Amino acid sequence: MDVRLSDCKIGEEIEISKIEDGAIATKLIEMGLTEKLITQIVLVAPLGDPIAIDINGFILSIRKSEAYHVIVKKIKP
Amino acid sequence: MKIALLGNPNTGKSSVFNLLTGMRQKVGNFPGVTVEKKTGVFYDGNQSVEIIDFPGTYSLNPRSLDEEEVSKVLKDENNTDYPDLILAVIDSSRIENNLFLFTQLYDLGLPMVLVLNMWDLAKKQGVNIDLDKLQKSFPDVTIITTNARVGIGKDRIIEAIRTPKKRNNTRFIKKEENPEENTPNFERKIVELRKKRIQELTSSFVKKEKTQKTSRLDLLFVHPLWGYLFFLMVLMVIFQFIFSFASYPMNWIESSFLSLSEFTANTFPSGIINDLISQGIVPGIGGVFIFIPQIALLFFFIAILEETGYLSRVVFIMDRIMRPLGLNGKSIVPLISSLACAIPGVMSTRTISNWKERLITILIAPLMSCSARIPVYTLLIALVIPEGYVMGFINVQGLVLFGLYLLGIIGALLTAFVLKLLIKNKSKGFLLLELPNLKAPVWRNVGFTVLEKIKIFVFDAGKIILAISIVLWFMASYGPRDKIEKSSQSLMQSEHYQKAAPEDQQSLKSSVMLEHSYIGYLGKFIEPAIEPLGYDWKMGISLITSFAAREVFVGSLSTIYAVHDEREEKQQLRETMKKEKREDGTLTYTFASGISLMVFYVFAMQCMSTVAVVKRETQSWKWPIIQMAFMGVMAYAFALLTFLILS
Repeated sequence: MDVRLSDCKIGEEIEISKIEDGAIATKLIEMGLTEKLITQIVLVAPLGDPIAIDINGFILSIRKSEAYHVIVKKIKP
Repeated sequence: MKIALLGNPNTGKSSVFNLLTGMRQKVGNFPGVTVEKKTGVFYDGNQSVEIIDFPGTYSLNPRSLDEEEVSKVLKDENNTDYPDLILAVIDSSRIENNLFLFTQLYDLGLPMVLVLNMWDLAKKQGVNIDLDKLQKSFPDVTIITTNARVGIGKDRIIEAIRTPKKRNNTRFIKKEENPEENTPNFERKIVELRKKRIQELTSSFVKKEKTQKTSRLDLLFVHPLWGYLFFLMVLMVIFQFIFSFASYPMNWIESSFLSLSEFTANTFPSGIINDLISQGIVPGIGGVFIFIPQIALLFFFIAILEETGYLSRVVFIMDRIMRPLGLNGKSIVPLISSLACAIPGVMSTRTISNWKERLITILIAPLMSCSARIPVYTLLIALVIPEGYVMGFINVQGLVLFGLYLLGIIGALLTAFVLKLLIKNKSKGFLLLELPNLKAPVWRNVGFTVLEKIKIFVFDAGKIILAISIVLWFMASYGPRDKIEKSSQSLMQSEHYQKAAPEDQQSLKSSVMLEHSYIGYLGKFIEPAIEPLGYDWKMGISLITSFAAREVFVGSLSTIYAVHDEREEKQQLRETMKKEKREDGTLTYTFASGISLMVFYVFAMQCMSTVAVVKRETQSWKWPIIQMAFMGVMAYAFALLTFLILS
């Protein structure tokens, strides 16, 4: 089932299925958020925003407004 | 030969740079932009090699001012900084991610050396790279491994640079493979193609044995309660050090420059040149040097926080709180630094990539009450606030001091909010922040950062500070000639003067001189403007002279009130000021005018050094002038309001 990355919880194993077109879509891909990447949210800031995800050992922090445009599939809850 | 050093942030690029060049480095700007350009020189035998340390970047498709400059230089063969060779640094443990920039650089066709840095760390983390296979994919690039943090690999780098491989027009992505330009989403398609190709490649030669887990420290650093408490503790430690340790070298610098002025005044023949040197230039240079201890200490701590990777955790937990004010998580460091001194504060805004967020941070930083306001606050509080306690245990004077700090912080945050609405935004603010691995700082890098910041301050801001001090000195020492002579003659004939002791006579003379100097007339000229705030021309003079630096306020008042005893200066000044009366017989320093003056100092931009630094950081006079104007309006309006309410 496709959900938005901004709606995922910390520690859920997810696979990126699509990054919606937008101003920073290209930037996200450059930083390693590519389709089929298996990842998870590893840190969440107080107040729930921003979040940090693990891209093969590279920890990237993004705001929820950016995570909203990342569509993911949950693998394991 | 000219070498460009390029790589992602947090790859140990600056370690490589410091390792190669040592002390032979200088900081400047790329022509016409604020982007910092670090150049260094090292010697290979007799041959000198120039190396440019470009800002860390993730891609040649620019996203910030820094990255724009990188791609501009590398795409223009006629640019003065166009390199003969590219030295690309990669964090081996994140090779897949780092290869993105590397392959972009590879496709530029320049001779290249690839440095696989943090080689040992990668092995420890279970990342095994098959070097032979990597070499086969990029046959015309020299590939070496280093551990620059611990100083290993310098010889290998120099060796590789000496005999670079010739490039054979090979490309990672061939020109004809690129999607057609100007088709929808073509930029994204290029990036996706490159990423996909890298993934295919790395899967053939990189083996990952284990996946990392989030460190326990990280869970503490971003904890909703402990995270903020820990940050608060770090801040308290830093401020304790700055306040308690910086004062020793500052006193030492101050007294040496005082002796130096006295020495020049007494040694050389008296006259205008002597006065210019001993009263204008030497104190002016002293006024620059006095800030070095605070700048050095502050950047020492900030460099440690940055080197260890903790700073990005702070940005992570502060971002959401700062955002509604038009600020960035990264604004927190400059703002807190400004509580010590706005100069290093403004200088540390460089890390904010979004121009609007950086500009707002620079503009509000001087509203945070800095340490130079403390002498002014304490003198005025002692003067108009009675000693005593509220609710039996809260010291009233301390409460007022706290209130002044709070007023500054609230003023800064509200101003940020207003500026956010006023300043036009070119690009939408976003946060793409890497949280690098936590690690021990490399002391050599910390040392170089501190040196670099001191150099920038002394040479760039120092020039302007010196110039303004000379102007202020001139205006305070000279005035319309006949008026000075007339007034000093009438003073000498007065009974009051003739009865006074010799040292009192000297002070009375200086007081009259200042009153009739250009600044004195300026003080009287602005009196009608500051009268509604409850001030007289004497305070006007002090307001003008303290534009050099706020703490000059106290010294100027001492001169005007002819206070001469240095040891008892503050107490004597306070007593004199307490008795001071207006022409109509009422007290000059009342509760209302005292508080109004304090409020004025909370908001007014009474610091030429900050003006100079803001000019340097924004590369134009536009923003420091706007900043002075709105801070002046705020100071005047709130001081007026305070006086009207209280009197």
